[in-house]
Amino acid sequence: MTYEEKLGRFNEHIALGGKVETQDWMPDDYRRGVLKFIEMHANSEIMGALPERECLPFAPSLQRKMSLAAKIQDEVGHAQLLYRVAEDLGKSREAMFVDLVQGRSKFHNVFHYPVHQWGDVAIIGWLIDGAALVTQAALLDSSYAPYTRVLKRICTEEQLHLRHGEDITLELASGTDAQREMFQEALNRWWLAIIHFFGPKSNVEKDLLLRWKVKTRTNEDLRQEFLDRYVPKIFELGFHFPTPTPHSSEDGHWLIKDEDIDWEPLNSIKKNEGPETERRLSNRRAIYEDHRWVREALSEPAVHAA
Amino acid sequence: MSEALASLLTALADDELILGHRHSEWTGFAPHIEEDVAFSSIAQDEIGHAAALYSLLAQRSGGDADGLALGRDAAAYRHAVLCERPNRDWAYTLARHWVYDTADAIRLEALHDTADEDLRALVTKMSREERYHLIHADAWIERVAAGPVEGRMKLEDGLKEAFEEALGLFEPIEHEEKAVHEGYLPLPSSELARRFRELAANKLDELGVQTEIYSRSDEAAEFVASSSGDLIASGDEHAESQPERARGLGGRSGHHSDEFQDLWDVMTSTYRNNPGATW
Repeated sequence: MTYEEKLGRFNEHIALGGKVETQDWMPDDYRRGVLKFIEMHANSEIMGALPERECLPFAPSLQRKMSLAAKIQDEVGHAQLLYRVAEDLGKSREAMFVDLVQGRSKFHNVFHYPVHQWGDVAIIGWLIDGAALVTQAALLDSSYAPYTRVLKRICTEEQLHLRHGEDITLELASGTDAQREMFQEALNRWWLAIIHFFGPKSNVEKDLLLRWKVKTRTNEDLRQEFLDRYVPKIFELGFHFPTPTPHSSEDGHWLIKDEDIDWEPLNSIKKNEGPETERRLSNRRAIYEDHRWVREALSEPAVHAA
Repeated sequence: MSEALASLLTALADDELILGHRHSEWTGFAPHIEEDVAFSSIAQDEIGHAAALYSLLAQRSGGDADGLALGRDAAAYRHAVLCERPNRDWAYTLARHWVYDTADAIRLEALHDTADEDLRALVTKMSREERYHLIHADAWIERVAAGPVEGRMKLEDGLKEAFEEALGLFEPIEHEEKAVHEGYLPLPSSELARRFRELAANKLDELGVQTEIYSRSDEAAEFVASSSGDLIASGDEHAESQPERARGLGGRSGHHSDEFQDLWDVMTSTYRNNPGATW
C-alpha cells in the first residue's frame, strides 16, 4: 500500500468516528500533532501545580492546607499519567522535561501569571479548573484513544477539584467584606487570562487536530460554553467583571465581543515571556539540575545492605 | 486540663504542623515526579496529625484547632528547631525526614502508655500512618546509601546537619517532671533521647552510613540531660556563651530561629489578617 493509500484509509477511518491506538499506523503529522498536544497538557498540569503551590503556605486553615495540597498532588499525578501517554508516541519523559525547563515547549497561559492572595486559589480552583474541564470534557471523544482513557480519570478528579474551588469561592462570597474583596480582586486580575485560556478563534480549515478529530470542538465554541455556564453564577454571587465584560444576548447567551479582547498578553506568553514564566521555569530548572543525583540513585539497581 | 498534658500536646502538634508545612513546600516541586506525589501524602498526614492534636487540646482548654495552629504568636510555638529549618535540598529534606520519623516512632511507642485515653487512641491511629512514613524514609536512605557516590555524600552531609539538631526533639517539654509524674509522658525525654540515639546508630550502621556523624549530638545530649526545661528556657540570655554544639535547642521553650519567624509570617498571614472570618 502506498503512503497515499494508507493516508486515505486513515482519513476515512477518522471521518467515520474511528479511534487510533498507539500501535496503529498514523501519518507523521498526526503523531507529531497529538504528541505536542498531550505534551502541552502534561506540561500544563505540572506547571499548573506551581501557582497553587505558592498559595499553600498561607492557606487560612488546616483543612484548607490539606485539601489544597491534595489537589496539587492530583495535578502532579495527572502530569505523570499524561507524560506516559505522550512518551508512547516517541519522545522520552526526560526529553519532555528538559524541553519544558529550558523553555522550549509550551504550557497553558494561565500558569504564567503570579498569585497574590487566597482569592487566587478560588479563581484557579473554580474558574480555571472549570475552564479546563470544559476543554477536557470535549476531548473525551478525541480520536486518539489512549488519551481519552487517561482523560476519563483526569476529568473525574477535576470534578472534585471544581467542587473544592466552588466551595472556597462560596466561602469567600458569603464571608466578610475582606473575603469578598479577595475574590473580586482576584477576578479582576485573572479574567482576561481566563478568556485567553481558550485561545483565539479556531481556523477550521488549517487546524489539523480538528480535522483529525483529536480536538472535537473549536476554541470559540468552548469559550461560549464556559461563559454561559459561569457568568450567571458569578453575577449571582454579586461580583462584577472587568474588561472584556460579558453581555447577555437575546437568545440567552453571554457574549464577549472579540474586539474587546486584548490579545497582546497572550502573544507574549506564547513566546514564553509571561510575567512569571522565567521565574517558575528557572526554579524548576534549578531543582532539576541540582538533583541529578536523585535520578541517578533511583535508576541504579538497588543494593540491599541489610 | 493538666498544664503538663497541654504542654505535651502543644509540643507534639507544633512539631507535626511545622514539619508538615516544610514538607508541603515540596508539593509540585519535588525532584522526581512519583516522589512528588508520595511526599505530598506525608506532608498531608503530618498536618492532619497536627489538626487532630490541636482539636484534642481545643476540646479540653477551649478555642479551636485553627486558632491554635495559626492564631498564636510565634513565641508560643513549642516545636523543635529542626522542624522549622528550610528544606534546602532533597538530601537535607530526606535526612530530616528520616531523623524525624525515627524519633517520632520512639516517641509514639512510649505514648502508647500515656495516661490520657484520648491521646492514647490518637497515638494508635497516628502510629499506623507514621509507620509508612518511616518505611518511606528508610527505603530512600537505603537506596541513596547504596547508590552512586555523589548522592551518598550529599546524604551524609544532610544527616550530619539534621543530627546536630535532632536532640531538640527530645529537649524536656515544659512541665516535663509533672508530665512524667502524672503519666502523660510515660518516659522522660532523656530516656527517649537515649533510645533514639541507639536506634539511629544501629540503623545507620546497618545501612553502612558513616556513623561518626552523630557523635556530636551525643555531646549535645549531655548538655540537655536535665529533666527540667529551665536550662533551655534560659538559653536566650546565654545564647552567645552557648557552645556551638547546642544548635537546634530551645524550641520546646519557644526559642526559634529567624527562619521560623519568616515561616510564621507567611503561614499565619491570611488567618491573622482576617479576624472573624470563617474558612
